[in-house]
Amino acid sequence: MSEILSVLHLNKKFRRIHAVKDISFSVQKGNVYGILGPNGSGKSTTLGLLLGTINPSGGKWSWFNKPGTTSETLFRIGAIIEQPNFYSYLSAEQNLKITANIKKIGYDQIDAKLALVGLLARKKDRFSTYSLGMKQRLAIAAAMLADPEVLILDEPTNGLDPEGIIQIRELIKTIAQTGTTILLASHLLDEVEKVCSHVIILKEGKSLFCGRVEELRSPFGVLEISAHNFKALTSYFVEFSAFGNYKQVENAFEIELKEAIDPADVNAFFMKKGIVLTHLLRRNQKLEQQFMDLTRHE
Amino acid sequence: MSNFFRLVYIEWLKNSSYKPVIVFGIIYFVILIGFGLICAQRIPFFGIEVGLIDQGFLEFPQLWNFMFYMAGLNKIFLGMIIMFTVTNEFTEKLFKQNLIDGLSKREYLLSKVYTILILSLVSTLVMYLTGLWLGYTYSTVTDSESVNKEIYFAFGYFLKLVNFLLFFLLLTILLKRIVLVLLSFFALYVFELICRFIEYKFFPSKIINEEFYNDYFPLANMHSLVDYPFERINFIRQLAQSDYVFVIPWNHVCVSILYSFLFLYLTYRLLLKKDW
Repeated sequence: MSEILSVLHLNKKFRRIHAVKDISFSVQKGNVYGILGPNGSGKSTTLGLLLGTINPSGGKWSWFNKPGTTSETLFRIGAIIEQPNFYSYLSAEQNLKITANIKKIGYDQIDAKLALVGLLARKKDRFSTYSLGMKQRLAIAAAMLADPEVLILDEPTNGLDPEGIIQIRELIKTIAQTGTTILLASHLLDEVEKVCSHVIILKEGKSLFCGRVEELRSPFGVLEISAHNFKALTSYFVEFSAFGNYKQVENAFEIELKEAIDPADVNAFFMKKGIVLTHLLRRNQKLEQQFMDLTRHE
Repeated sequence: MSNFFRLVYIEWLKNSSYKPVIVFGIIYFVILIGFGLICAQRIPFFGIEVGLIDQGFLEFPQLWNFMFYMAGLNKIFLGMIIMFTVTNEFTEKLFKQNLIDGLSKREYLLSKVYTILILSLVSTLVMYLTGLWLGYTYSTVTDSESVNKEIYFAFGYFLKLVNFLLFFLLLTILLKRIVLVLLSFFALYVFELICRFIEYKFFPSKIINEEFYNDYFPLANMHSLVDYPFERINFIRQLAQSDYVFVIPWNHVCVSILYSFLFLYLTYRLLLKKDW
């Protein structure tokens, strides 16, 4: 797999805020990456830095193994930042002609890309007459115009109605299937979980995690157990090789599983020790839980 | 060269159907040509027929001084075109989108500079042709020496427009609001007037041959490129009993070119240093 983007010790200080603190990560070809973090965690600033609209305070990065961001790099990237930005008095077609000229490509892809996002019938209409969902889809068409190797989407479903959200997600999945690398910034875990194979977690400008979504989620799930005298349970945990980190949640324990285990065996084990479990549940851990854990520790 | 056409074409796509551009463009060129037509009429003025022709407005070579001075008065409409298009691009984050699509900051600035050069050139050409037409129709002298003697004014006018529009571009990218740009422009105008007054009042000994340091301030310098033609009106010339001598103001030409490059440099620095 070849490397699309590598970021090393990226820093950005605004006058009062240290918006991006020493972020490092890399992006491999063909994957869908989620950049996850609450509002104000530095997602948009990071993307702005990598796209050359914001000047960095420190650190370096390279796109396609070439340092920094040049026009030639940007021609190979399609990006949507925050909101769809178009000339409101021009039609979709005219707007895409501007993009095509900036990217030094012909007009032959305009109709195909408008068809991809379902806007071909409206191509002669002024941008200002579009609904938010249509504007966002036009933004995706513009980003896809030059058949980019990487597609960067910053909060693509922000402010859309449920139908619009589903349309955009379907579109992202369709594009991902063609092998386009996608970087999706979002504060919606659910969205990242549904769409992405990899995730980069940011909080207050720091990157907390970078890896596969499955690595983040414990693959074997978690086990919840409880008993009347539940504090006595912990002394037996060492006897299970499958048990990983555990924590107390109200009057039960939540144990991360390192390997597959049958809950019946756990029950039988404690029965033998003379402990009756009042609660025994194996479940798949949601990314949300994991995300909350990660961000809480910091 | 192909990049020149690409950037100009991008500007054309962006602006050719933008309403403020069309409206101000039409106003500008209608006034420009309309002025020439009015010059050729005798206008009743408090019972007396005042004819600009009789006052020597349309005589070569001073015709150029009159034409290009008057044409310079409505350059604000060209400024409006620059202001509307550029503020729109900055408030709607279109500049940012242009950057992300792969237009470099340098190319963005170049596209605006080319627009300014083309607008100024077209305006100068229109005025030049109007002048030729009026001159050959009404002037008593039409030998080529008289016609071309003061052709400097066409160049001075072009330079004045470029200088003015580059200044507007800088203010627009700096302030991003039409109201602020106009206010600050007006404030500078008043500031220069006050400076001129102070200089006149308190340092009269330094003013040699009616030359002010103030003449080299940005706006006053632009003005000096195409000076008042009123000394040359027949009526006033008779009153003042003076003979006007035409001299090319090379000092102002040089300063104006310096200012143009300064405005350009500051705009470029602003684009580079700020986070968009």
